[in-house]
Amino acid sequence: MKRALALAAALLVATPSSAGLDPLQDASDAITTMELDKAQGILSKLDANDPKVAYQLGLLAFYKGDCDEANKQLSPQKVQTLKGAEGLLEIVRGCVRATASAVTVTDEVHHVVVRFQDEADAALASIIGETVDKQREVLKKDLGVEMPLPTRVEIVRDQFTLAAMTGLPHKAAQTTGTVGIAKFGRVVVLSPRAPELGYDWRDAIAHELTHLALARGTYDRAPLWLQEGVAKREEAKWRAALPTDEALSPDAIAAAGIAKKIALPLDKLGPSIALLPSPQQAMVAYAEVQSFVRFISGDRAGEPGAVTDKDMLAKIVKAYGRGLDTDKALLESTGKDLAGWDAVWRPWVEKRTAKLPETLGLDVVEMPKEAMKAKQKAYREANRALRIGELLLGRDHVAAAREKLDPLASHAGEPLVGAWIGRARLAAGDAASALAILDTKGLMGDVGLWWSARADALRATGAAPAEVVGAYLVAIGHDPFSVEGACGLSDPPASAPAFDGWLDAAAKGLCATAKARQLPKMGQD
Amino acid sequence: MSAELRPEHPSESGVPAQKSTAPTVESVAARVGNDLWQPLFRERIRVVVGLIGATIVGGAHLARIGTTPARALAGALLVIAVFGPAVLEAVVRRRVKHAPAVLRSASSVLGELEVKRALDHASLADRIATSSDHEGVSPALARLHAARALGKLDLARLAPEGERKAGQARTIALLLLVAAAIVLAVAPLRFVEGVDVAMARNGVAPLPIAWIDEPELTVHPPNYLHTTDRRFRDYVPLKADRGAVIVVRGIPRRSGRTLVLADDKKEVPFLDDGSGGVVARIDASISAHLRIRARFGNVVIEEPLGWDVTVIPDEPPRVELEGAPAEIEIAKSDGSIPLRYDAYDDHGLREIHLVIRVGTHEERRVLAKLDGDPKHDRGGYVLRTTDPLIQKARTPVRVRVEARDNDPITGPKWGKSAELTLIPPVIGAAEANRYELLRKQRDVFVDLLAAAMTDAKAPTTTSKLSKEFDEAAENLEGFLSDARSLKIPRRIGMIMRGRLRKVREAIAAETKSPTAATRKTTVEALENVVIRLDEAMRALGHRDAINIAKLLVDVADDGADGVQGMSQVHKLDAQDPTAKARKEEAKNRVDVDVRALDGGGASMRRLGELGRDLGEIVENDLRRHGRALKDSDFFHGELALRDLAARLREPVPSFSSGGGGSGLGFGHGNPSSPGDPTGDPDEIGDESEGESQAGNVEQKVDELVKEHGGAIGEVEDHLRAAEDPKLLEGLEEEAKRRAERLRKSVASLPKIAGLKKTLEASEAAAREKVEGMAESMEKLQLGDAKERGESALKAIEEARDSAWLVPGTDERLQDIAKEVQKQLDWIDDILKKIHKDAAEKAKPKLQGVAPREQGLGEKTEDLGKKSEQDSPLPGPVKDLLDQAAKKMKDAADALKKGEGDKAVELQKDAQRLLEKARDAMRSEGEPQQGGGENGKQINPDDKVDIPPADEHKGPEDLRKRVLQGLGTGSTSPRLKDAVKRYADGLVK
Repeated sequence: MKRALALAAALLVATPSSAGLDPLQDASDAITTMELDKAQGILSKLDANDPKVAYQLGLLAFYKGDCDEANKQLSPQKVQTLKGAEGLLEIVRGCVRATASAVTVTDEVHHVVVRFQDEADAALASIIGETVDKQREVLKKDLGVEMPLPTRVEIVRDQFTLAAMTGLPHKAAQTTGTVGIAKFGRVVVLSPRAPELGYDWRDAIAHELTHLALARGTYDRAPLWLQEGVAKREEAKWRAALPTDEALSPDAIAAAGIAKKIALPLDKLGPSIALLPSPQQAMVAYAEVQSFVRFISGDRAGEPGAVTDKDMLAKIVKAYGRGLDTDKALLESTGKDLAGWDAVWRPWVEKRTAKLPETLGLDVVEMPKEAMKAKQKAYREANRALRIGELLLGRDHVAAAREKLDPLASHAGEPLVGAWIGRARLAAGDAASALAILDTKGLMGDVGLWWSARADALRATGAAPAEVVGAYLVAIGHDPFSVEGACGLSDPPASAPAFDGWLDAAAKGLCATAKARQLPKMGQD
Repeated sequence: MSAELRPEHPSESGVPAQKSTAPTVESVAARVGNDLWQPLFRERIRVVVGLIGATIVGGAHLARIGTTPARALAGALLVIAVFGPAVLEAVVRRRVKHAPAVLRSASSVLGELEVKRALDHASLADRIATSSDHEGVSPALARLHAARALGKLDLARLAPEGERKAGQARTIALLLLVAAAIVLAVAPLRFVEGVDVAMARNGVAPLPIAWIDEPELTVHPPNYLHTTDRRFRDYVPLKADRGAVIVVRGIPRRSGRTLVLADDKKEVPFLDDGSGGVVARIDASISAHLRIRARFGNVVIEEPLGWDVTVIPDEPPRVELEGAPAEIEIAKSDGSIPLRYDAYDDHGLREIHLVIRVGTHEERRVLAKLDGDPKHDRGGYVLRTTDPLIQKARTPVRVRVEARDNDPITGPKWGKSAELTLIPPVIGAAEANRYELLRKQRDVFVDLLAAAMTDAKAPTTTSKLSKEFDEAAENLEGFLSDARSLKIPRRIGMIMRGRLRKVREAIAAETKSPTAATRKTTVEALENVVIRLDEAMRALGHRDAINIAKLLVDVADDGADGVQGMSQVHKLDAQDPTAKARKEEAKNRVDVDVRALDGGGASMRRLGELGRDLGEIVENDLRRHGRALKDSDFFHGELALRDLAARLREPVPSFSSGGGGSGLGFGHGNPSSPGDPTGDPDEIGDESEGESQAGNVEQKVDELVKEHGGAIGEVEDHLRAAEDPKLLEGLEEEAKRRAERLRKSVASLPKIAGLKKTLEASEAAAREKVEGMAESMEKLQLGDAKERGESALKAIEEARDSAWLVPGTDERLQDIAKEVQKQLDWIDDILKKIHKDAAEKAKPKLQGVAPREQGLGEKTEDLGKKSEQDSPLPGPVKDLLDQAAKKMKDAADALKKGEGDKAVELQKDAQRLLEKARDAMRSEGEPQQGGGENGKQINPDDKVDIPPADEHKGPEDLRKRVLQGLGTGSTSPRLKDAVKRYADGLVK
């Protein structure tokens, strides 16, 4: 996912080659690779009054999530004179403030420690644990990186705190819609209650965890394109694939971005995708790196020039771990350096054009002004009909609502539109037609509202219980605090197989939390 | 000491010495001891006594210097005097055991050479005797030689010399004793002082000595206390105010001593008072034992008695505010909160302030200024809920009274009363209520829309729909203009009134012809009402959430400060009598803030998406704060509130995703995936789309008003330029005559007008104006004369209102009015001729202006039409615009015909209509004009706060308003520049 600015120079200069010669460097390496006990052991033998040792102790405390201790270690003036200490202290202080009296939950089953800025999010703990647990296995297999236990996750209430705890400028987080950052040995992710309709927060955790694994495996030497490309590739592997996973082809988006000349060269993406000037550029950048990484990781085996070895990523990570730089690591693992691969991949991806949704604004051929105005007007009217439909449904005028919403069926691929049409049909008792509109085919994205409506439609049409539960699980994977999704999951069809104890408790907890929010009825807000 | 000094060694040969006739070293040494030293030792007691006496007296004088070396030396001498002789005797006793040494001690008497030779021979004899082979010499011979050498010593000289030494020792001892006795007899106290000083510990001698006779102590209180001096002649405990001067006088018992006056911290010297006495002054700054001392170097000898002085500090004033500490809910008060206080000070009060604190802002108001004498002040103040500070406050208002004393010594001190906390209505409750009411209104129209849609294909319910609409519209109108709740922003009101009109028109059309087509129009019109209400509600909720968040920032900050205060008082010792009260006060402060935050957060949660988002954050951060405080973890409790304040300073949604999309798409700015932010921007901005459109229309009307004003000015300029001054020629004499008649008519009226509204003043005003008219007439400034004449008529009418007071006055004033009117008629006739002539001459130019006027008329018409599509105007506003457009077209026709006067009249009518339309749009419900939840008007009897000069915004705003009001009102453009100059003069 998105990486913030590299603030601590010590992290960047970490290299395994100096092992044993310089205890401070050894401690720094151990911290970078999240060998925290080892780092503690090394540092405990050094003079804690030495500012450099105090700095490493502060960093270690921060990696452990002990912001108060980190603040204590980093605050002395003599420590502040060290390079990077001032910036780190500012972040630490943001953390101290944001996590003051926050709630920490330890998931013993999945070996995850989660700190919740908002106590009301604590119901997510076990589900976070399961996600992390599964993703750790994925990373071990795909990257050859075994994560130390426990994994630390921070769930923050808003982008404001996300920025304060990581050093990413708040404005940048707002511009690019940043929802998570992996930094200082921890995954910091936005609470799914922050966006009105939630977001795919479980994938976000998996994405950020991939960054931590890469930092551990490469001594934090992986370049941004590799970090983000691998994280995008791995983020959905913890779960079964969803139809929408491939709805928007990264190759096609990258091709469109290149054609529109808004795609940046792989090695010129800057310090973080979160710092790119617009969400559109961020989207293209993600697509580029995702496409490239797939090309060199064996996913595109069979395509001209593409890597065929499925274990290639693990080999690349290993090469970085030995201290090689990007070109050498690629050359050693794949036989070509970055420029060599770019020369193969770029012509290939440029041809992977495909029709993209016009809502992305990536059409290569600029629409004439008048046509654009007409399109915009049409969308305005469709949005207006959608809103009126929502309001009518909110007041239980089901027939009138359908009258406004059904004509929007051509936009049903937009999850929000499909969800409302489906809801109106369900309210009218027409579950079959609801399920028809809530078909995954043509769906352009995932929204919790859509998946809970589909689950309800599946249940109403007597679909297989596992399919119903699956849809609810996807729903809470996006919006765990909506009554429709959470309470639907906590009350699965009678014939559904029993949940594991932790999942049953989690589902009930989520439902209770969702109800406690006392959100206005859908369409009533 | 009694033992005789003689050698103790026996003879080496073992033969007792006394039996031998030959002298031996031992026998000779015994003689030396007996004859030479024994007499001296007999005198040793006398010598020791003499030495001790002399050393004690001398040492005491030495010690009196007071320095450490001097005292040490004195002590050493005393030790030597006492123990020296004994030590000496011990040494001598050791030496007499060695006969050769004793013999050697007599060398000065027996001859050094002889003694040496004798001892050498004796030594040789001993060596030969003890060696194995006697070194080849006869031991007897050697002994003989030794005996001969010893025998040659003249032992008879020993006894006289011994007696002589004894005599000398006696004499010296006697002299020392006599000298000591003399010194002691001459200055016995010096000896005592010296011994006292020598024995001092920690710089203070153990034996107190009186230094002053007839001591007198005077306490001179600080001047600001206005109290008299007090005198004490005895050593009694006394009290003195802090800052008082204590003066001690007395007669020194003996001269040559350095006398000082000291308390526990400092000492001041006594000075000669010029009359044989001494005087010292010392400030009473601490409670202490005050005493007189004589200083000897580092040591002092104090007097046996002193004064225990208790210093009374000037306590800060004590202030009691009736009822405080307490909380008062502003909403439950009857509009005023009476504050009664009592302020006390131990010495005097100088000033009383009312201190009002809102969040971190503090305002002080002077309640009383006193001369520093009164020790008690009682007063009161009525704090009205209409007070601007209270009215604006959305966070707890803390009120206390502070009093300042008159202490110039340690500086004035403020005493504070406990606080009354005025709790404003729950922050944001009014906004949340308005939001929910607006939602209800929207829902009513949603229901109405659903009803209209049910039989849209074949309408059968038009009359029912019409009736329900009328009811809903009336409710909405009532809501829009409900003065009891927060006002709805005027643009929203204007939008809704415009939309309601369109629905009304649609239903009217449908009533005439109930077809699917007419119903469709009705449904569309109702949809527009719903959408606009929905937009307005969400935009308003968004704005209100931001505003409330900003208000809560101060509360959160204050709460965090409060927790910091709690942390400080938490450390107070339980023994501290104020600890409990202070802890409670600190806790109460935080509790009030937490309640305000909780209430504000709850209000926000009722305000739609952003409000719910921020409200949840408030709720959570209060939970964090509460958890920390429960564990007495003040650090994290404070941080939780600081974090909340920081967050609320940026009242933005918890999640945002850039925006800048193509305008194509659906949604709520929701990210479809992390890092793949394709969501649309937050569509709810500061104002709704409807408000924005209405704002555009308003701006266009405003521009039209200005533009049309310019067109009028152009026509008037042409007319004025065409006026021919020659037409006035020959009228000078006539004008003078008429002016004279005017002056005569008012000659009987008083000249000087007072300020009061009396008949006399009114008459004087009328006279002044009539004379002004006369003056303008004389100068043939007929336009001006006409204006002054009209003004004079008004003044005469005003005067006539009071004319009944003096019989005959009314008749006289009527006569004047007739005369003025007569002259006005004459002026009018002339002006008409001039204007007619001017219009004829300006005809071509006027015709040239006609297209401009025509264009403006069309523009006005278009504005009305276009707004029907985007943002329908309320009926009255639309009517005004339509009328204005018609008048402009008529004016254009008149201009084409060259009818200048008529055209100007029509233009002015059009301008009035335009201005009216603009004003009507602007007055569509003013936004929350000081209303708030109270909505109460300021009582004219209340004190009106005048902004201080340095708050420049107020005057600047006033200036702008005056200029705008006078410059852009309905004043003719002909006078615009003059009016502007006048207005500038008023406010510069």
